[in-house]
Amino acid sequence: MMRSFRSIFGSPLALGFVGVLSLSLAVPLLTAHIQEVKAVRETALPLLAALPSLERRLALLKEQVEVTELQAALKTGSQLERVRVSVLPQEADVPRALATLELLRSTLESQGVVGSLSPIEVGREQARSDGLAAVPLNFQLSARTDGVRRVLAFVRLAGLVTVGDALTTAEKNALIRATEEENPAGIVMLEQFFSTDLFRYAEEPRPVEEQLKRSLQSEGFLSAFRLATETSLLKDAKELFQGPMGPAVSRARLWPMEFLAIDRVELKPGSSPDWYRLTLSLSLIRRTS
Amino acid sequence: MTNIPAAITGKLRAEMPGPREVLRRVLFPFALFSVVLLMLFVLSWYLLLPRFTRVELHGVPQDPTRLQTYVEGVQAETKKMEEKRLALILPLDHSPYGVLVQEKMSQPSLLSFHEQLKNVARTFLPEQSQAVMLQSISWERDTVVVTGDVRNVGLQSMAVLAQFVSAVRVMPGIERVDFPSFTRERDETIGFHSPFTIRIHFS
Repeated sequence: MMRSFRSIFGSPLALGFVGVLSLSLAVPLLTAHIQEVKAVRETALPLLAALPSLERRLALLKEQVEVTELQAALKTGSQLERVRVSVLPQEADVPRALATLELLRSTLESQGVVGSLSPIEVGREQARSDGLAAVPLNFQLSARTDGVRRVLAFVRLAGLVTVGDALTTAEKNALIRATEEENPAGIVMLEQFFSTDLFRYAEEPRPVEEQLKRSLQSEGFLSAFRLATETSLLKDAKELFQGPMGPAVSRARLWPMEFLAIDRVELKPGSSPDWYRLTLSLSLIRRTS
Repeated sequence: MTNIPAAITGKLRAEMPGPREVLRRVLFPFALFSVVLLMLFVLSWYLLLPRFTRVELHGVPQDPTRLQTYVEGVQAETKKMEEKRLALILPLDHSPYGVLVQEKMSQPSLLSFHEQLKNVARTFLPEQSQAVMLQSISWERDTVVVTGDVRNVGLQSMAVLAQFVSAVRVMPGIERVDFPSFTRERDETIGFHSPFTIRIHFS
């Protein structure tokens, strides 16, 4: 042992080899030290700073899910039933859809915003890939700008059942986020708002809106709510169904309407200023199973 | 001047180390330094560094990699809970009905787009607000087809049409605008004009 040490210490070659080898191992270790400290500073510390808010949000979500779960089971069944019976029936009710369009024309004509309606062409049913089938409906009508707006809004509303259906994903997400920030338990009221019948809401929005505003009063939520109710399709629904259209639809028992998908819309100038020729290609959807 | 006796210089020469010994004496501290440095780094790696780079998670010191795994777990669970909450609030969203509704709600409003387009046609060329006349607009599967005519700008009609297409391209929510075919025609009543058909694709 001593002899081997003496031979190492005695040999410049061995000393040089040991020195170079140790140094070449020490350099990567030094780099690893630097990397480790850098990783802690750049990754772990920001993560640690963000963690409390992440955990708080998860706890809020769990609380919201628990609260919502209690109510959801009952409502889902009734909504699904309405969709199956009236919106996507197993047999397409073409006469009902034609009656709805005729009612739209006659109501808007009496208001002076829609003129003539061409014959409605009913095409041959086409199968779709998602367990649904579509009956094409094509027609033209002449209308003022306001008439075009109302006809398009009505067609967009055809087949929607709840308030939540008439909001875009972005609008719904904004409301959910605002609720989460103010009061997680308020999600139950928001869920009730989303599942309110669209026609009932459009005819008499005040009680529904007031009920929600009583539970959620922060400025953030109220501004998201104003944006969602005053700039979305809900605004068109209110305008449409608070006028003569609402009682007419109610009398003819046309709500909820069958689902009309919009395939093509064309707008051409009409014979006089502010009048347009509107061409619509729609699909009356039914379920096949 | 002092003369060193030859006997002393001889003795000194005899005691002077050879190059091998000089090299050995130089390399010994180098080797010793390197070995000690390596040992210190190894000790620091196993004993000191873990102590200084550990982070406290709920009062328990943890490895940074475990913290990362834990945060990823929290994020994954948050996403799962968000989806569950959405499924409870909007239960029909993932049904065929929900897909139809979402498809309908994501369609652009043709009338408001027409208004925006008319506004662009009026304002993109401040000195000539009557240059672009829009005739018809149609929407089908995320594509809007606009027909119209560029007039009242003489021989510049094709250049103005190109400028109009560029102005339409920067409108919000638009993915692509196909260039129309550029033609210039002469009409006895309206003079030089460029009829166009533009296809606008939404994102």
